[in-house]
Amino acid sequence: MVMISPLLRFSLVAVLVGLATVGRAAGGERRSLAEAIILSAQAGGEREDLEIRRWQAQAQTGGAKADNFEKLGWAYVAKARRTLDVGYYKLAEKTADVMDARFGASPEARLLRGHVFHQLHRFAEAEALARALVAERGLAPDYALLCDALMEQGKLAPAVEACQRLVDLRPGVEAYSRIAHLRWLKGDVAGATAMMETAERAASQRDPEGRAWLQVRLSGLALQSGDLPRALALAESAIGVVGSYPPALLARGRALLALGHAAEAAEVLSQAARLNPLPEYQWWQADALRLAGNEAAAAEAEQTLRERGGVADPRTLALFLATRNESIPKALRWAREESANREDSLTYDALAWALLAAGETGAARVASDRALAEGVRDARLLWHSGEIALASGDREAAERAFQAARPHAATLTPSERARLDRRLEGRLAQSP
Amino acid sequence: MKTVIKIAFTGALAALVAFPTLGPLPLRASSHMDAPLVTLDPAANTTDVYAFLAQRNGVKYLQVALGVYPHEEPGIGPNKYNFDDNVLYQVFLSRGADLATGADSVAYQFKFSTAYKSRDTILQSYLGVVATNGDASQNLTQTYTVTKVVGTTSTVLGTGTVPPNNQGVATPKYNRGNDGNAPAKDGVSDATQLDDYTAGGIATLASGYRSFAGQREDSFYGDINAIFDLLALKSGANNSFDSQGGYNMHLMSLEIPLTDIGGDQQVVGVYATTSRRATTVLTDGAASADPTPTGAWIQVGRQGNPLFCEALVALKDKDLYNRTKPTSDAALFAKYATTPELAALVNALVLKANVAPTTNRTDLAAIFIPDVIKVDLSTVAARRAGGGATFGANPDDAGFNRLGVFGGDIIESPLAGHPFRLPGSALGADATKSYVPGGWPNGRRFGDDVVDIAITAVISDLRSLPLTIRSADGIDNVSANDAVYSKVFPYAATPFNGRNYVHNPKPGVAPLMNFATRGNVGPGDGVLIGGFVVRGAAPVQVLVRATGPSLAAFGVVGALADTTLEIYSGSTLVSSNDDWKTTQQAAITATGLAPLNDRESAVLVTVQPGAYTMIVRGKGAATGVGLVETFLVN
Repeated sequence: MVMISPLLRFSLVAVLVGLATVGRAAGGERRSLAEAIILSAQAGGEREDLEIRRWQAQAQTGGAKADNFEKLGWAYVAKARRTLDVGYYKLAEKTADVMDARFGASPEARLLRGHVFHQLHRFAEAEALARALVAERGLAPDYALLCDALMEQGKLAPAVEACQRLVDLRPGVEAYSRIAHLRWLKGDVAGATAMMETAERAASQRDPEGRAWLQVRLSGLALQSGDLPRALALAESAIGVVGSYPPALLARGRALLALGHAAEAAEVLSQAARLNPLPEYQWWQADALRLAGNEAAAAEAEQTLRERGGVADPRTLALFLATRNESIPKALRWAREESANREDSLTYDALAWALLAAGETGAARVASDRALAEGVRDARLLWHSGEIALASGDREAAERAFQAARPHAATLTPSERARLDRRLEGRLAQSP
Repeated sequence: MKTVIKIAFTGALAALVAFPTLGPLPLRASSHMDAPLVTLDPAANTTDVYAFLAQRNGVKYLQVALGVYPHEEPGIGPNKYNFDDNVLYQVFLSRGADLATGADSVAYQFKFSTAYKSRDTILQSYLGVVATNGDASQNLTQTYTVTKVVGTTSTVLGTGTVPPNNQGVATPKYNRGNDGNAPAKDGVSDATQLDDYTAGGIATLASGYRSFAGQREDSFYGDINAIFDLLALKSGANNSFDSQGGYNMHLMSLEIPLTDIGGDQQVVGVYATTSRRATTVLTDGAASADPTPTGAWIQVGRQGNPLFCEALVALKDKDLYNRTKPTSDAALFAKYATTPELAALVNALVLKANVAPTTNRTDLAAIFIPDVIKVDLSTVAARRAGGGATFGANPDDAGFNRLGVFGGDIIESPLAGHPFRLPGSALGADATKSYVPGGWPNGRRFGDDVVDIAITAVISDLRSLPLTIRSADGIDNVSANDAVYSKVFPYAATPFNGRNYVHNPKPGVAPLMNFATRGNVGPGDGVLIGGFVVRGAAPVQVLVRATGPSLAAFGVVGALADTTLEIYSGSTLVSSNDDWKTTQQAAITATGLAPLNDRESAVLVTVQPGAYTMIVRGKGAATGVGLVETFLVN
């Protein structure tokens, strides 16, 4: 069967029916365009597809309640998480619209919409919805959404407050996983690992994607701690939970690269990039291919990254271009646009790195300091900080930053790691 | 080319997805899973609470049990279901004045600890065939501590070891013939017949307590799916759907000596909770001294009477229910009992008439508010379920009825105090005495058909005498569990074998349904003929029996005095028998399906898929009414 993207479905239905109402619901009333879109039959045989079809059928019965649509919306979210296909988030958003139109505004629809906004990088809107929900009813999912929206925007202090309310209200995997990420952002890798392990133990067998994702996160933390076998084992465990899960494939490829298995890593990362063609995946794929001696394929992956990365993930594209020292104005533009939407550590780092490449060393230093202000111990951020300090003439700060990056260096791409290694070998005066 | 479009389109947009934290959970309800926030926390998600009066060696005990892990798939791997070391499991009793408010008088805490014999292996749970609980082959081993808490005083009652899950080959003793490939053994009526793992898992604690914690078959049965599918209940002999059919659970069970809780002249309330620890999000240093949660225990799950949170409490309040104690029920949740939406829904969708009272349901409030299971300890022990009224060596106790009081299963109660203690005159019993229900809502036994009981209660009017009872017997078309309970501690049935189990077998896939036909056997060719068909690709073992003389005891006039039996596949004689004890007596007896009269016929035979004919004749010149039956044994 030919699979049609949910966004394509969205477009096709819209084109076919125009702006008029279409079809008839069970009771004979005319069906809205949005309703027609979310209820157009879902194809596929995955468990998420079955769930979507189940709730589509429920939502089309005469006595359908808001609850049926809500479950359909979350079924679309589950499909989006599993496939990483953003179109399903759009369908979830449309489902929230239908809930409003048919049953009136409700916290349930707002929560669904807020989650979609967060996933679509509409962080300020997600935060506003979350704050309204917290004020109105203050349930655990409301604090979880608020925590997510704040975290993404770099507002860590209120994010911590929201997360504390979440765990005080409802300890469990949702709270524990967020605490782990907050601790990581604050540089507490051991605390993050312990909490993520607690989350993983509490995760449900009924939510394989969730369990796999937690194991991927643990794999990343193990990689950062230099426990490469454990990083590999966790990634493989995640693949065992959800076969061909792109984040797990990426984690496995990264662990294999850190262990020196370039050829195997190149194969796994190519598979991951095929399944989820994003700049981060393509960057790792290209580095692995190059390390394995396949320069042509590496160049092809990088070219794809350059051509499509700006829409898919401008922050990573900015980092990539700045790292390669190419198309610097474009890199700077991407980084600045991203930082207008969020002010978290990773975005400040991308901006700092692009500024350095553009020769704006002073501004780069300011952005880099802000990137590290919360205490995150990420090798890339620390290495970038060292380079920026060095360019600023602060050799002492540079040396400190390079040394701080060293224990976490396994998280770097091979090309990045080679440059850090050269710095650590004492060649501060040379270009890395 | 559309596929190409999809890939490009997907790739162009997918990265917009933010840092993928586990998203805010949907507010959703699901069958056998009470409230949204706990449904994805199965180790803390309760299935059911059981509480009833039991007796062993002449001593009465309050038997309580808490199940977790709804829909526990027997065949899952490599990670198995286990109790969570980070969850505090508690069973509470409300006694005396606390009963009316649901306040806690006594708490029993189960805390687990997990250890591995070896981590240098992919064999997470088993390193070999487990001979005894916790031996060198049981890699992952859980132990637990049971603590009694009264006020601020905690007393450790003892510890126990969790037996292995029923994996199959690694855990053969759970299964028939101690064969890891065979289905799980049936429950038993005598403790000496328990399988080694279950028997070995029973811990003797201080002060006369006993405990068990481990995997069991999910004892609940009912078509929860249909109830929450717009009450579109199914009907028809081949259309039953036990939502929990073929699933296991993890059970904590405790035998409480009445002497330790004030004796038997009382009614107690029972409920259970699960809790997880809160924690401080950020520690004060770069490295956490104790990074795992060590904060206060926060209640995340609660369970009292069956179906209250699931079928009566509105979606918006389900999580609130799970966070609160029964002492809040009168203020927060009484409205759901006194004005049950379920009654209105049953009227509208099932009965198509305003039959069930929908307001002022003080009778339902008496059951559910506060939501503790009320158990009258002054009675004799509750009747227990086995495998059914006529099930071989382990039948239900005489008088047991899955419908409890609505099926005539009542117990004399010498003590006032239970909300459903009624005069015998109201129940068609001895008018000089008072009685309580034999099962739920007086306690809750393994085997109580809580769906039928609950809906019967909802559509009836139990607010005043005489009671107006409208039976909902069989309303969900599921009237038996899919496994045989034990009538001894820990009562719940043997866990399904991970490599030999089935969910809700249907005729289309079931190899054979039990079959019986009755008719006259005349002289000569006037034989009684029956047939059966074995479906699928695998051979099955069936017991075929022909009965005659024993029918007289059931009021059959002119029963056949002596039988013979032949089974044919086409024109080929597969097996035959005259008197059942002459050839396979031991094997037939072991099935629990032996004829009741020595002159009757039976054969235990393994047959290939196909059609078979059974012929019953009268021995000699005997004529009369005969019965031929086929039972699927394995």
